[in-house]
Amino acid sequence: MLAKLFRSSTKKKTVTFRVVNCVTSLVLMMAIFSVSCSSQKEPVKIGAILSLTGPGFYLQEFRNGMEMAADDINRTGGINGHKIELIVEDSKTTPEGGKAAFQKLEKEHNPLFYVVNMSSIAMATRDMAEEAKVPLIAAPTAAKNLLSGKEWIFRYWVTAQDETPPITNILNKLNVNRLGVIYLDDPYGKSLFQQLEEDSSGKNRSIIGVSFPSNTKDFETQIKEVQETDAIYIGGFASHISMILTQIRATGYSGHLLATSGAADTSARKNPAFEGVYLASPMIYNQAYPYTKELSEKYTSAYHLPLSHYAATGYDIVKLVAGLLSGQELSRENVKKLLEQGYNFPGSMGDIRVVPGSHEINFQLYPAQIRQEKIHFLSNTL
Amino acid sequence: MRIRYKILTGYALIMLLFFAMIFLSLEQGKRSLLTSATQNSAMIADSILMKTAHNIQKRLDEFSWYGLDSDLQQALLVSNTHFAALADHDRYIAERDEEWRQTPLQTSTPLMTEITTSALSHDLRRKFFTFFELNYGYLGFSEIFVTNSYGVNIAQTNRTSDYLQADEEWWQRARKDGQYLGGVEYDESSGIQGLTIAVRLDDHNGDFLGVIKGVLPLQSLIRTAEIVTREYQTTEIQMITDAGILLYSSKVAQLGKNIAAEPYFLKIKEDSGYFIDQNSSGRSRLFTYIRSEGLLNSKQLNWIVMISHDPEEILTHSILFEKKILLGGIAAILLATIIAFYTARIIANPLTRLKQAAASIANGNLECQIKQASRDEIGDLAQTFNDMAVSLSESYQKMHLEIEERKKAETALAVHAQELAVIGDDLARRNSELDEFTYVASHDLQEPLRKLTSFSGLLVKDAGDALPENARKDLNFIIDAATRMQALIQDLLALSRSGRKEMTNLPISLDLCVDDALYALAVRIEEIDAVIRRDSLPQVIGDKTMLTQLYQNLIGNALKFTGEQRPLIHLSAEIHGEKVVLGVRDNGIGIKAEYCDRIFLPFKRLHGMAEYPGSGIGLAICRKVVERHGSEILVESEPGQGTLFSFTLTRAS
Repeated sequence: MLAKLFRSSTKKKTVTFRVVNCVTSLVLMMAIFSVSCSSQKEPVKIGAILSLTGPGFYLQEFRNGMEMAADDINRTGGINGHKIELIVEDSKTTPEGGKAAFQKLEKEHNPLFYVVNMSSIAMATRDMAEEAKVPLIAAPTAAKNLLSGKEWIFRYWVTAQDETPPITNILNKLNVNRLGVIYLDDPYGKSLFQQLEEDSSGKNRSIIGVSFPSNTKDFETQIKEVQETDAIYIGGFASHISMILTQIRATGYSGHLLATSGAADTSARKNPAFEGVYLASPMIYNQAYPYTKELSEKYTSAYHLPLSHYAATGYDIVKLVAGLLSGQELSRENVKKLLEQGYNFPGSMGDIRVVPGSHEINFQLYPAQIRQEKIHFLSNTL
Repeated sequence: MRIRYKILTGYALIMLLFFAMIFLSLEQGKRSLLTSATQNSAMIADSILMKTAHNIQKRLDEFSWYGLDSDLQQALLVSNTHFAALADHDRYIAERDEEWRQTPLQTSTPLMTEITTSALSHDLRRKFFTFFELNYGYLGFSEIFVTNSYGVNIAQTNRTSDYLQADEEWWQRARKDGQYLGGVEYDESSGIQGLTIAVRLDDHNGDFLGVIKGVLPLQSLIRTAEIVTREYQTTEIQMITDAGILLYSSKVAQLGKNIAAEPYFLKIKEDSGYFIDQNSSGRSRLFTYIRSEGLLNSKQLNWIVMISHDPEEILTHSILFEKKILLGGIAAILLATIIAFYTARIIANPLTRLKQAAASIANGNLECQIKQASRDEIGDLAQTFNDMAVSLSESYQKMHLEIEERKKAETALAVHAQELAVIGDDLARRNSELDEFTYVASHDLQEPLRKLTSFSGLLVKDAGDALPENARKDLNFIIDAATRMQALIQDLLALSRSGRKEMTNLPISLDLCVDDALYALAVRIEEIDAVIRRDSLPQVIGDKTMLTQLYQNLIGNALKFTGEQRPLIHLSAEIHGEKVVLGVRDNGIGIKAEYCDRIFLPFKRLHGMAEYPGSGIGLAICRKVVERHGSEILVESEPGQGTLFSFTLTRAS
């Protein structure tokens, strides 16, 4: 009898102990679950096909900007609770590299949208994006026909139409009658030259244009072609501009030198050949410009580099799309729809307004001159 | 519940309580943070409203200041003079206005080109456009133009829609009131929302010269007012009209959109306040708003500044801390559980060993000892237990020996009892045989004795006179001896019968027994004038004949051994429950203490036959009767003080 009672008592205690164990385990599991559940949503993947090697290597700063924006957004919960996952592939600044990168990203990650550097890469990948029905935002790209007939391609950069007015303004001020243009033999360079020709039509100004391939380092032939002009305008990447300016200076050329916005690159400007060069510059290099003050400090603190307009653009693109997607469905179709709907974006490159239906996201460039490695802005209404 | 589980549960409860208090504190801290954020936001919103008003006022002041510019005054004076000189300036203006309005937007008339490229127009762009763009990177104005006192354009930064402005409200109000501040207007061509300001221009004498009008781009106007170092990444600053038109957003937005139906806008009820709302994806936002009562006293500028943040960002550190606390808590609980487990083991294991040792002792292993591992109270308890076990073992050994001895004694007693029983049986058999013999002997002796006395009496009767004197004396001796022997045998037979007689155990009245006894003794009582006192005697269980014999013998004894005093006999009865103690007390000669045991033996006499006749068998019969009633007869006596015989009987219910 006593043994029976003892067994019963032991069973009761075992049950109580199991209940206590279960409750404790449940509490611990819930606690661990509550700690870890915040990172359970699928990430928003951004495919970035960037020029990290080759002539466009300076666009590494573009990646920095994108990374910083993604980090900022992720720190505050991501997009609708989804963390941003930035997946970067190097295009090696070649169309083939860009295509391979697109295929790889599409196959392995199926990103929500793409960001592509350089006109040549954007032109090479735009049909793939169209076929895949995925938004592709090209920056920096100035190719004139980039968006023609395309539904899924967007541009966050200045076009030749934005590049040339400040240059024309400067040319007018300097009374340049003979202009030599050395431009990159790609869609971007060609559109620049075409735009300058259009801007100069009806004016007493002759223009000589000469192109160069992306991989060349010797510009002697091109320089000779424009040696007799009042001014030479260089349209290309910062690396091209730097080499061409150095070689022009070596010839003792006495005319004015002008360059595209790529000359605003902070690293390139350290080359003494940039001294006195006129350019069309984004406003972020203006010390009094208030919109990028905070971003500039944050960027310099994070990367120990001065903020460049490439980094600012990369930052702005991620911020723009994240802002548009706030509270919205996360799908490729919706990204396209939101980018097309028209909006105002107070970006670091200025107050950007996109009219409904437009695929162009442009910021403004201002006439400026490089003096002692710094950019001095000139009157826009000379 | 076992001690270890109690300890574990106790630890768990303490930890849970501890963390519950921490989390309550954190919750309070979160509320404080949110409240603080709304207060900061309210201050920033107020500051934005003030800065916006300041920016507008600054532009108005710039116009007023520019109105003093000598080139401007000169240009206006020239233009006004020119128009004054016209014969029909109204017609002149009307014709040009008509031509102006009819000209497509993409083309320009000579008048337009003249005005747009005039030195004054360049001056306007340089001072009001370029300055802001190059110095600050934003537009101070989106459009500026100047009219003369006749209301026609004399300078402009962009092409205007009309040549004549005098019919416009802003022109008339500026002329009349000195300045004009309009409402928000959306310019479709530029796609921007603007705020129209206009200032009357006078000469040094205060005479009206014209009006300068500017359109302030709202996005730049408000953005420059709200540029602050943001504390939170998720902060969004919005400026909304009280009708719900979105004027500005610090994030990407469709400016000019009517958001009056948005849930968060519908929550704006007061002049200021805050609330939490959720967007369509379920993310919460903390909104703080302030409604202006009309910037620069303009009822058209009843704007609302709304600042919102993601509460999670405000609480980032708090949430992070909370997670750390939670992880720390889990670690602490696990650690506490391990500590509690080992503590419980440290406490419970010795107790378990103690319990097992106690069980072992209970099972008879008195040599069991606990290994003493600690020097604390539990160690002391173990030592005490060991001492107790040793003591118990010793006590058990002693007890065991005592039990063994007692068992031996009991065995011996049983043997003795058996022997006594045999002896008792033997004695009983012998008594029985003796009684049988006594009865048979006394019965069988009576006949010869009767014959002896009869024939002796016949002999005396027949030959008494013939017998010699001596022979006759001898014969009388024989008759006397035979008679005494006959009496002796009678008594012996009575004693034998008292032990052999079949007795009845029935309720009887002792009074009746005593009455019969006294009746039998009445002659003697009367003869010696004895006094008999008697208590009320109860009914008892017994044999009436025997008890009557008992009382007769005892009272008879008292009547026999009288002293010098008048004989007094008291028959007492004391009831003790179911029993009654009965007594027969006299005031006779008494008995010496050393003879008290002997008086109940048959034929024992303390006096000579001549002094007190009798066979000495009466008290032996009394003892036999009392013993057969399950009691014993006692005697208390002192010489000269009388005697008390007492015995106990069972009362009849």
